[in-house]
Amino acid sequence: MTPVIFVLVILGLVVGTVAGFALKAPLLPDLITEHGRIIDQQLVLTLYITGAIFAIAQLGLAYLIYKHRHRDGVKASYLQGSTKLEYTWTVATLVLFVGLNLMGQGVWAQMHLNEKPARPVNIEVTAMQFKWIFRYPGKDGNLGARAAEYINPAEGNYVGKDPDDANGDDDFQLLSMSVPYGIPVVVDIRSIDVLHGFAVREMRLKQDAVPGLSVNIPFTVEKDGTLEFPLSGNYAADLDKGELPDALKHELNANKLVWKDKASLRALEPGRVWRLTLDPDSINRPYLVKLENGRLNLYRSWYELACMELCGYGHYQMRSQVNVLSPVEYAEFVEKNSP
Amino acid sequence: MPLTQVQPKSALRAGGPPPVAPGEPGDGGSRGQRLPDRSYRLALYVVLAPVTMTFAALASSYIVRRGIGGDWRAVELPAVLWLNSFALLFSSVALEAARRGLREGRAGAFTRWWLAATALGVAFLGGQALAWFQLYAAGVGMASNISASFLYLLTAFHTLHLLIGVGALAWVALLALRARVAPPRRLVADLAAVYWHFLDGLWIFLFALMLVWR
Amino acid sequence: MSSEAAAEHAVHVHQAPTNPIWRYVFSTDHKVIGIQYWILALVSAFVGMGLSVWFRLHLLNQGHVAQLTDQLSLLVEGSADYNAIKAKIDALQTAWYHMEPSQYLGILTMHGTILVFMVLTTAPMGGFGNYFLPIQVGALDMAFPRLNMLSFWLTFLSFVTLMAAFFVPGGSPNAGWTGYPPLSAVPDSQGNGYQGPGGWGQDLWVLSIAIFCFASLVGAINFIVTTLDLRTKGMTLMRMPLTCWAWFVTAILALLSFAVLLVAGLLLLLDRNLGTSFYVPGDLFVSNKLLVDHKGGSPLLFQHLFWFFGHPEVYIAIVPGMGLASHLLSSFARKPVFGYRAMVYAIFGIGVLGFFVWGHHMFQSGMSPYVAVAFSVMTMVVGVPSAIKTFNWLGTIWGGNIRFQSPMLYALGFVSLFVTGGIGGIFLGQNAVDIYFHDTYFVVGHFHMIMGVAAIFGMFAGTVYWFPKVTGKMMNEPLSQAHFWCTFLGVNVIFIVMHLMGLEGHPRRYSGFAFEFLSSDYMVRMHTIVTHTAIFTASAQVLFLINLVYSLAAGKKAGDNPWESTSLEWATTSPPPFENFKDGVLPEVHHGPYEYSVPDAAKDYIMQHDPPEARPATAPAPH
Repeated sequence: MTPVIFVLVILGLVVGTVAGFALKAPLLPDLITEHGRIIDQQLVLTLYITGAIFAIAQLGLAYLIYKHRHRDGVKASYLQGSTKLEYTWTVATLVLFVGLNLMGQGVWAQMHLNEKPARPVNIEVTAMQFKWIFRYPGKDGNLGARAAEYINPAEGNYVGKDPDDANGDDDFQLLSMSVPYGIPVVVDIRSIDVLHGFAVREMRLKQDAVPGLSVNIPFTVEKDGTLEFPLSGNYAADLDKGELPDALKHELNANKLVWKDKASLRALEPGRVWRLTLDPDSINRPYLVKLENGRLNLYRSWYELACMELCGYGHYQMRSQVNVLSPVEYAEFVEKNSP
Repeated sequence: MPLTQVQPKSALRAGGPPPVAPGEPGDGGSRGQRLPDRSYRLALYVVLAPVTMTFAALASSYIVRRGIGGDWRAVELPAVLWLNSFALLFSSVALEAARRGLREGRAGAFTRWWLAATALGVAFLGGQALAWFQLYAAGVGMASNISASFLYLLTAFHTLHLLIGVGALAWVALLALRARVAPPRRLVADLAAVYWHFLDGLWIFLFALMLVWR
Repeated sequence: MSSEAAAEHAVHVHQAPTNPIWRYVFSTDHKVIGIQYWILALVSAFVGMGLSVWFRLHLLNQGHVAQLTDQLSLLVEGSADYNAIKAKIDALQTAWYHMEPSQYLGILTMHGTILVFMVLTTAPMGGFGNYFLPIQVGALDMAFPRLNMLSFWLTFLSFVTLMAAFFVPGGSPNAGWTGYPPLSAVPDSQGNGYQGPGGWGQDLWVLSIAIFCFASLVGAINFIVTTLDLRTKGMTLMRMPLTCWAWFVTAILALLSFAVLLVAGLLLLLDRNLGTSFYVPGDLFVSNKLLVDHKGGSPLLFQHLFWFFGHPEVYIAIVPGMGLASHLLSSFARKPVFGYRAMVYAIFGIGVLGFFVWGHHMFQSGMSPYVAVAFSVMTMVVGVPSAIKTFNWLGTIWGGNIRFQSPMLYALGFVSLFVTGGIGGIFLGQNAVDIYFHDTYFVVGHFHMIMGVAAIFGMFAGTVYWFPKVTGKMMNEPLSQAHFWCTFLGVNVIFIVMHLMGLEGHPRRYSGFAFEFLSSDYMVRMHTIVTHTAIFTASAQVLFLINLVYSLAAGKKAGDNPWESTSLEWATTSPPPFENFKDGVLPEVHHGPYEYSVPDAAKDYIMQHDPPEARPATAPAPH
């Protein structure tokens, strides 16, 4: 009886686990960066290989448990091992494991080892308990110098911007991050108190923010947004006027998106792409409405930025967001915010 | 594969408790389980492993921290540390002279040299105290600079280990003065000497580290 | 010494102390010390598990709060629906298991610290190792019994110190079990929003770990000398049971790694209290002011020191379980261990390689990315000996005649859990894939699977297997089996679901659901499954307690060798006499440790101390 239960439990374990991963893995969070695709490929490849190893090992265990269960009159074999087998599986696992690992080194090099892209958009990310501060270089493209002595909370100068550095004159800082798609971005990640971790799931990007250290990570966002859900009807004319038809408002509502007073709608490409900005709890939540194949679709273009390194009691709420803008919108964004 | 027949390493004999009186070294606590001398030597080497790891961790922290620290301001090492180093070196030489006396059965020579080594050890401790006092008087505190923190920490950790060493030397010296260092006690003298040489070498390493990587 | 004196002496020294204080409390008897360690681990395990149930309840609660709050945002303030939901939220927020965020982190930190140090490190080594290493190699006691006693009482002191952290001003430390500075090193940064400035908790935590390091070092010295020098006649190294090899390698790991943790802790204490700057960088802006007394320290330095210890620590927890699993699979499959030598080499391989992979905990820490590549490749290499062991375990039961008694169930469970947990490591060991999984629930699921429950299944296996030897009574088989099935099912559900949550990117150490992707229906459902299964699994541990108490009181009497095993502990009475073997006469060993089903032998098994003739000349040569 016991071996049968054991076999059933292991079968359940294998089926449940493989099914869980098989159902979940294609539904990894949306992917918006270029390097992220390679990370996902490596992840999925690892998933296949380890899934096979997992199933073979567990089912093999179950098979042996059942096959060699105790039966009266049966004597176990006096098998002490096999040097040939030992060599075989040692070499096989070594080649498999190390080979798999080396396949992933390309994307690591791209993120950490290779030269940083020329003329990127530089954004300085400063982490502090329990918020993120993003400093943008303004129109000149250069960030002003910083030093701790200039930190002045009364003036909101948490990053320690040097007031005498002309490069910093047109810098501006915000509590959320906006990046253009299709243009390389380099974030300079730092912290002014304890360890924090910069992480955006959809960007497949994670880097600790370490006080006393500044880590530069390049990335390129390659999508202007990810499909949330299709909208019904074709209201291109209304949308061009900046009005959201009530039918669409209802559809948004049904999906927990609320059109409130501060919300706005503008045409990026009249007749085809519109920027919809919702403002349910005082953080901009930009969406795109696109007319595609005669249908309207709602695209999400904001992503949550989480802290991934324990930083104190407020760790769980150290939240910010990344807005993806078109290059044109980004230029406007810089224009609008530069002092 | 042929069975390799290794001789049992235990001094325990099958078939009866080993002959040893309680209170003898090697009574193994409550059981009358006699440990061979080599077990004590082995135990000492095993003890030296974590001590080595401790100082390796401290030394690598020192090197790493020195490497990244723009804030590093070298502390002038007190001159007495040079004297100290020589005292420690000579104490090791004296210990060897003492052990030679012991091997050759010259009890008087053993006692004299051993006492000399112990005295040098105590002198080293005094010298360390003096060095700390001089540093302190010069306004160098534990937290005044990271180089000072390391200087205090490394010397204090070493001195802590050395205190045990001086205790061991003093104990053997006491035994020697009471003329009890007969061959069975050679073990104690040997163990104390090995430990002492180790600390001596360790000090040379630490001193060199603090001199070269200031 | 005359033979007369020896005889008199023998009588004298072989008596256990009569005073109960010396006999049961401050005992130098390795068996009593082993039991003391085991009890300490059991108490700690229940404390640690209780804490985890508490914060699981809290998390589920917060999940509901987040979802209700979402609903609230769609309703008109003041409407009847709105007020009803608001009332529900208020009720949840005042539930008895609700925690403030800082308290949550404190409980989390204590859960991790208690389980890693007081359970996973003490029970397999201090508990089973202390009791059975001397008996299995055929010795009267550990090499240095007084040091052994010192080691236990220092561990106990460390435990008390850690527990005290619950009750001091400021509460338990809240920097996580890894205690990364600057959070752990700068008191002001530790959450004065709720409990006043970071109090003594963190100091006690460091102190407790420092004492624990010292205790472990003292214990490790004993294990190494005992293994090398106190083996009985005929017990060659290659005749030692794999349990002894595992304890030996574990002791070496502990010896080399705890010393480094001691240094890491000491420097942290100095930074925290004396204002030095080993770890704390300059110009920190904490609690709305600039810290001026620190300069230029490196938070990464602590991480390097910590994980230089931390990774070997994983093996300290799991290697004894590996040894025991090998031992039991062979014993209950009635077959020699498949590839005994390969097993020994693999244990050593793990021990050695385990010292060169610590950086895989730090891929995203800001450490040099070149170094990360090297650590990543090394990590894959250290997976190889683990795979070898798994293959050899399967080889051991292949062609066997498996007896499904409870120790075997736990051992098979160990193998299954080890495979499941180990596979997560293939993801996390790759620096590129770790970019996605670092600090998510995938990591939590992975290390709980392998270093937590796999190691704990090793402890369960050891407990049911050796209970008859220690107490002279069998544990109740149906209760053991029921406990096995509940626990095995429970832990698989809990930690595989955590892997799935990690696949979704759920960050670890979050006390609430402030993110949209966390308060999704999917995530809250996952949290519900985990919490409910955790409560179920924790309740199932009561079966284990009942079994212990019941078996102790009314268990079936065990013979000397109820499992028909071959190693030396089964050559003595149950329970063993004070001097381990009858009259302190040490058995002489003539056979390897796993001589089961030897062809042409009279019995199904040949015990290690059976006379040489027990093994027929016609049988194939042992390994």
